[in-house]
Amino acid sequence: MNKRGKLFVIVIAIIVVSFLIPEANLAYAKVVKRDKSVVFSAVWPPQLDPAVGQGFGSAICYANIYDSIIFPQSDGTTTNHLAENIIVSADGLVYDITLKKGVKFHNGDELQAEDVVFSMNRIKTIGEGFGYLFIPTVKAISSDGPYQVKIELNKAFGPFLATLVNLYILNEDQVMAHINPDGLYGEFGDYGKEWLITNDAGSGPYMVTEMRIQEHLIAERFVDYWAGFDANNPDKFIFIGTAEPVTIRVMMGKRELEISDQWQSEESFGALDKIKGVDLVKFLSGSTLGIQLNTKRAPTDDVHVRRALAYIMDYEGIIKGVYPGASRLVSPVSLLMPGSDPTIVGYDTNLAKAEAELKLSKYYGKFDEYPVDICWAAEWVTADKMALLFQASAAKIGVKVNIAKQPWAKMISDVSNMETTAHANILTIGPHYGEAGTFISRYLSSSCGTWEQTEWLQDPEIDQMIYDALGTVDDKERYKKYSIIEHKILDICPTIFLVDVLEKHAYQAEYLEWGVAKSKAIPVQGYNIYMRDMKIFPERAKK
Amino acid sequence: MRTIKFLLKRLALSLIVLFGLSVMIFILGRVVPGDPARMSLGANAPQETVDRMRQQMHLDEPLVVQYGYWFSGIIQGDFGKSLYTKRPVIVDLTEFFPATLELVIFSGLLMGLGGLILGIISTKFNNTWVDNIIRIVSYLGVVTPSFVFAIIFLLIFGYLWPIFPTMGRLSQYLSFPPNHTGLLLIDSLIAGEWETFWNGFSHIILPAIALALGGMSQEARITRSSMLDNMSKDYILSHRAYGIPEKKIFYKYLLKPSLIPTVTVFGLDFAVLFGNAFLVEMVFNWPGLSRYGINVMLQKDLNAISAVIILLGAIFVLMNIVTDLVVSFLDPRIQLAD
Repeated sequence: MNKRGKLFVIVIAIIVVSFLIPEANLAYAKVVKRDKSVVFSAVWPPQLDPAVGQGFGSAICYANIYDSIIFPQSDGTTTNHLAENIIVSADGLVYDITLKKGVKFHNGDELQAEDVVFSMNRIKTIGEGFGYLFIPTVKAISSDGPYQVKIELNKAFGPFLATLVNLYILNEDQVMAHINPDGLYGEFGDYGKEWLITNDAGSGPYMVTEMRIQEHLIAERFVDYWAGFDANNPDKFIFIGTAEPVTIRVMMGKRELEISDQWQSEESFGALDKIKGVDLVKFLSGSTLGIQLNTKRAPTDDVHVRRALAYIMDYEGIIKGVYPGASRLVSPVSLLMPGSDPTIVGYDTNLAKAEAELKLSKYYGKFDEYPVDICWAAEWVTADKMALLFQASAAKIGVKVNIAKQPWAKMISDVSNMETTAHANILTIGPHYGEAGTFISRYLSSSCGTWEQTEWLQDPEIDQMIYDALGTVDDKERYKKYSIIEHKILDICPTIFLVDVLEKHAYQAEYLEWGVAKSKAIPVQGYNIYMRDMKIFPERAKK
Repeated sequence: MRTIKFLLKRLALSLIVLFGLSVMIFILGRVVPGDPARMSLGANAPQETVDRMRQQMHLDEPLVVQYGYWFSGIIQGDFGKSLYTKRPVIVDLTEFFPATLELVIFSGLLMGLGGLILGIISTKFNNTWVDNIIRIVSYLGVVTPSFVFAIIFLLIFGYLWPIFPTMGRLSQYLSFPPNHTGLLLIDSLIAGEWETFWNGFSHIILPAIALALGGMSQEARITRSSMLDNMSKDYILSHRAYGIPEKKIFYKYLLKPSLIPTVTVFGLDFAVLFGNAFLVEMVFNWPGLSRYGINVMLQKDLNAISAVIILLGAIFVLMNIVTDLVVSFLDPRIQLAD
């Protein structure tokens, strides 16, 4: 055979092999049938232990795998869930909870009062995850019989019921059977933390069947779930952690992914929306976005400078150019939250007012000496645009703004000290529970030094007002107090409120019915990707 | 004897290099701002919880003491706990390293064999259209990052012509075979699970090719230029003068010495694959060490970062030693001891 002949044979062989491999793989394609599972992508990895995790991915797992005493609603209120009824003492210090009977854990054990006591003590002792919600408030918890739980508080805390959404009940016997005795918690060993990395001990509608860290979490329907299922609720869900735009696009196109993550760029969402059968769903997430101004460093220590910056900000530019479709945030509280005051009017873009405020400032005419540094986490690409808008807006009134983005780790380090906290920090604040108090309480002096309060407000009067409001048990009374605090905060303007953050996902609208696409979202993290709120019809999926 | 002496010497030097690396990565990890305990626990975690974690990680001790704890742990195979996965780092390494190793071995094979074959063909058909095509393709391969190939392959073979699986190591309807080596393909063969083997094989094809193409192009170009360079050497001319058949000259007397630069570059490229695998692993949701490495860096997970870098450093050192050995085998004139 001559050279050309050999070359011809090689080329043919390569072509044949390249066709054989794909042909064999068609078998793979045939095996993957469209079953009643929902695959979604979110922040990874989730922590399955409710006493450890608190991120978005973990919260989705807790909502689906565990049960809580009460359950959040889309109007911001709560309903009894594991609780049959709850009696609150007049002073708001004692909560008597009667549990539902016949609720089973995934291993078949009945959920009883001792499990609630165990779960509360466990999260308080470990101190991680949502533990911070209960450590300062819960004085004692005890059981009286199999279905009676009594919680005593250190001091009255109005939003306490709302925080109970984040107390997920674990099976005490199951956890204790899996403790590692070499742990930090004395007789409780490691409190089952190691085992709960890849297993669950819950009673929720779905139970973990496989957790492969860095790959996926698979959870299947718990057939004995006390609240039952609709026939078309998903049989299982698969949670994956990839957010790569190309991967997401390919998977959505192949109907291998039902719900995308929320972190895709606008361009990527646009491309996903063009896929036949795929729609975008947008809802208020309950998080707020703002520029926090350091009130202790010149020149933002001057209220007139802060107000001037709030008046000059290009809010329309943010909503049109950075967060299309988002709602304007005018006060510290997301409008989604119960207790928010919809009558509040915030700062609007007004050059005249900005100039007038600036003239009242002690730094007027000296802004060359007092530039404003604006900082944000470098990993957050969208914030670049906001910083540039802020810079451009401030330039209109002669305030010089230095762009100073930092890696998140550096930013956390910087904001722990008043002197190293930048004059302006772009930050998103998420709710810890579904009530306005979560946003108000971040202005407490105790929050300073964390990324939740880079304003360094340290105002004893505001502290007192917040404590007073949080300690008010009557909802209406408490909400009135929140409103007064909101007005006060607006007046001293420690924060430029930008937008009520929209959560956006692409989903397979052709064969997946998703509650939040039709009604209002639930203002508690994790509950909008709640499988019992979804119905899947695989037969509607076109090839 | 000389080889053993060489090996012992290189291993001793490697230990010094790795020790230096450990000191460097330890210090770098600590001087970068940000409290890992606070980052891991969140803004609202009570200070006592943060302090307890700092104490557990010995972050409240002087740097030298911290290093002592850390180093003694490493010697015993204890890299501490990961803040990212909440597990011992050694457990993470045991789980994620084989996934990357399998991918890199497969890519390395493709890279080495493909580069060699293309280089030989290119030399054989020097200055013909075949050579020109291979050269152009090689240029493209060298200048294109592997994640671009990954994205292109994903779009073509995962979406437009969906014949390859695009996510992970194995389809979700299959379960992993009993773990012997951590390498899915080997384990499935050991267990005699052919469907699993084939499914795993089909999962590795796209990421492995995407990862291999850059290095393959590099090897092809180096093999070609090295062979062409040697072709005009006196010893080849004298072989021809003796009437030795052209085929024998080509494969026996020309190819072997020409492989020295290829092997040297291959050794480095193979080690680099571990680093380059990151974006490919992200695109194909491959649960490997490179992806883990980036995730732990973003979380400032000190223990995990250090372990990943020490492991990658050890791989580089090992590959260098292996490369030297192979080169000395190819050309005995190269003195190992030197």
